[in-house]
Amino acid sequence: MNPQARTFELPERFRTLTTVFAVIGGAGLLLGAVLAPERAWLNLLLGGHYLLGLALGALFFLAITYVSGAGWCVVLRRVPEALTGTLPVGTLIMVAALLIGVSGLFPWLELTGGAEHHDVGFKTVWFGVPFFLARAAICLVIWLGFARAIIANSRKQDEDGDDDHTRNNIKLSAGFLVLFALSVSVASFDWVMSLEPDWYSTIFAIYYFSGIFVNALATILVLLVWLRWRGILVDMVTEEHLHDLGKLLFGFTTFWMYIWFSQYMLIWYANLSEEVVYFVKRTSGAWEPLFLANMVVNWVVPFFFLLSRGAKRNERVLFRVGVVLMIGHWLDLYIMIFPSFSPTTPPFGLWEVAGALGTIGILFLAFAWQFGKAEYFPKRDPFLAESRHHHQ
Amino acid sequence: MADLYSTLRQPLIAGNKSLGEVTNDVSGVLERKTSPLWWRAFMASLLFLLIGAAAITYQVATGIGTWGLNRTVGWAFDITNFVFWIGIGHAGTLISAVLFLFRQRWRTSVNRAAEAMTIIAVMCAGLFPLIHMGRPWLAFWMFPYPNMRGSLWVNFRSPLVWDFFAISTYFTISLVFWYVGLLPDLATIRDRAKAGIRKKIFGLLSLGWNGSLRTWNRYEVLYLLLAGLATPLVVSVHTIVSWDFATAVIPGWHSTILPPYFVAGAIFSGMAMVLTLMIIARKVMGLEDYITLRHLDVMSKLIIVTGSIVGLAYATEFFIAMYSENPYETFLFKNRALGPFAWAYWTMVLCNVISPQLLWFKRIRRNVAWVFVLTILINVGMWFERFVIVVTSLHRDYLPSSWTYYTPTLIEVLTLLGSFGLFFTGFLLFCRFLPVIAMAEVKGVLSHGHRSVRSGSR
Repeated sequence: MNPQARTFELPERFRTLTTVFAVIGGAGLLLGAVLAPERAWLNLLLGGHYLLGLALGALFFLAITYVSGAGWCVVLRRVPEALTGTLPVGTLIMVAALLIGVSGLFPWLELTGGAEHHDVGFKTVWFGVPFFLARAAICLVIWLGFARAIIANSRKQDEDGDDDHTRNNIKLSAGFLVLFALSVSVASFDWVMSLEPDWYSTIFAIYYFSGIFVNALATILVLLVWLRWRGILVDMVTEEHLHDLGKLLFGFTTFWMYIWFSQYMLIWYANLSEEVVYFVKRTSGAWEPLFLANMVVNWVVPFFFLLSRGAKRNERVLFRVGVVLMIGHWLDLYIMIFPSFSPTTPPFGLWEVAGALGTIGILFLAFAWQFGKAEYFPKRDPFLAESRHHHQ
Repeated sequence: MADLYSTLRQPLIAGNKSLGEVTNDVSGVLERKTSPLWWRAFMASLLFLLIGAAAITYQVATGIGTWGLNRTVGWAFDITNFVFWIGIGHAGTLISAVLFLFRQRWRTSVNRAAEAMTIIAVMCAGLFPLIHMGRPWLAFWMFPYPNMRGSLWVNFRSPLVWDFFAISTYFTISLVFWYVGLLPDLATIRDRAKAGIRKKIFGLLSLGWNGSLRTWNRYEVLYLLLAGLATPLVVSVHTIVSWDFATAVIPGWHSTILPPYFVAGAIFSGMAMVLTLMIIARKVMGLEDYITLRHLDVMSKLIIVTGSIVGLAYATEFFIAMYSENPYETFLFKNRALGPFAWAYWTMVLCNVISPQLLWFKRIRRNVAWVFVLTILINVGMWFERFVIVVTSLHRDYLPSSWTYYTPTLIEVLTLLGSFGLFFTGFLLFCRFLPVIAMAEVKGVLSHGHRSVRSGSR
């Protein structure tokens, strides 16, 4: 008995809705470029981080499951694969954001451009615009290359059933993980931490990574449950698979909290002026409630709602917690990006709404485009039988 | 229903063992006469332990002025040893708890010994802060309880106190976890023993284990819960050890990456030590079918993962020191790489970052001699890592007139050797009197009743 795999199309109403969202996002961006260029750029940057991070987090999920020889997740692999496939979309947005950024918006530009600057320090060299863009290009090319190769192998296996595709993907994944660790460090320092050019924190890359991976797990769960509600993969993905994803989500939200706390506590405890400046901004004025909400949304909620075994096997609970975390990651990025431009009040208005809607719309459209490119599950993967018979 | 496994999976236990053979192979070691090899190893370890005991007695009686510390370098050898041993003590609970939650079935061959190693290593670690107090008989002052010392309380804001709680909790849970896991095997040994003192002792230790379904059921629930509790503890212990340094405002110590970096380093060193011990144990006790080349292979992979994280952390710290343009940070890292302790720094880099890269090659991962040598190098490297962090951050402080060098005294070196004596004495006693391999768990991962299938078919 081998259920026939099929390919996917977005339901009509949903397609209309997400297209409208994407159009609102695009219109907001264009309008913002004229009326409020800095806000529009910040939202573009946030959207770029969100979509790019999601694709990268999904690719990281694929890579660790390949290298660890995981068999359980094969039936649901096409979902993270499709999310990984959206990488070019996130890349385009990020490239746009970076190019606009270096033309006058990145706050460190004054370090490199200003003639009055005293001596040539490390940052003057590091933030030279051509060097900055070259680093970005290297990171993006690495990610796009690995994403493409790993997805291509998996899809080819549907046709020829060759185990070597799995073996090749294991090797590719190992290589990816090494380069990912280096490139995501550089990217997070360059594209987020540098927004506060005087501030630094060695854990920042890990913090950035933990956020994107939690968001990827949450989004995989949300999409999976949503697909099941539409009658897709219902007989393939059981509550055992959901339970395992739920456990990973539970574990990694706590990992996020651990990294968050390590950064905050050490900076708070040492109380050095050049370091606390980051948190002083984020805990003053109207930022403080958001700062606290970040911890509630991204850790307290998933921790208590996912603690019990029953919750992790309940698709409704998983769906809701997943949605909360998807919003939570937006909030987390918002708190990383916006305060350096608006230190006292969190700006929230038309531009942010348009940016968020646009991100969601593009996410779903891109996912549907990629999910429709292959069958619902890798039907000839050598671990498929294990995955289908997965139980505790 | 038979379990299904992919055709790509290899069996975990070699030699196509039956259940009875597993029991015989593991219990047999304990029931045979003690081998001369064991005695020789034991006497040597005991000798080191006694040397250490003598050194400790001397320094406690004389005072810690017997160490090579000075006004600038106030922490050095003993803190290095403390962090080193705590790190070693990480692999056990990682293998038994974290890998259990991740359903890594290969862990069954090594988890028992790794846990025993953890417990002994934590004891070795505990020794050093105890001596460091100078008056170890007042160690109970660390317990916060209402007292008659003018109601003198510990400073709850000090990470050293958090450390005390973290490590004592970790030790307790690790011990309980290890003991609970031992219960079915203790009962097996009890049942095999002829009437007499051996049967009585193991009868007592196995807490009336009767092997009924209900006993097993409760055992498995308890084991899962303990694994869930132990997992955050694995992370917390070395996190809090790192806070001993990172909460300070000393360049080289105060760095936000320290918690995850220390945890990865601890697992790195612990995994290396497990491999060192297991490579010896499998040879000496004839357990090659249980601790196979495949086990060396997967554990080597974990070493690459954690070693790479450590390497990334070194690089990140270096980079951020430059990026921050903070002159003190920049100086510190340049001084580490080029200053008077550059030899220690480059030993660390060579052992921890460069040599483990050989493990990318499958032929090396499956070569016992290579893995053995590399794990020893890693252990040396990880000791030096802590030495570099502790000493190089201190020896050239903000005031150049107080810059100095640090050399350990003989007493300090002997104390370190003594801790190795304690470690090996404890481990040898464990190997002699308790089953080194978790028989009951290994029986669950034998290939009987497994079906290998390709994709799709049922």
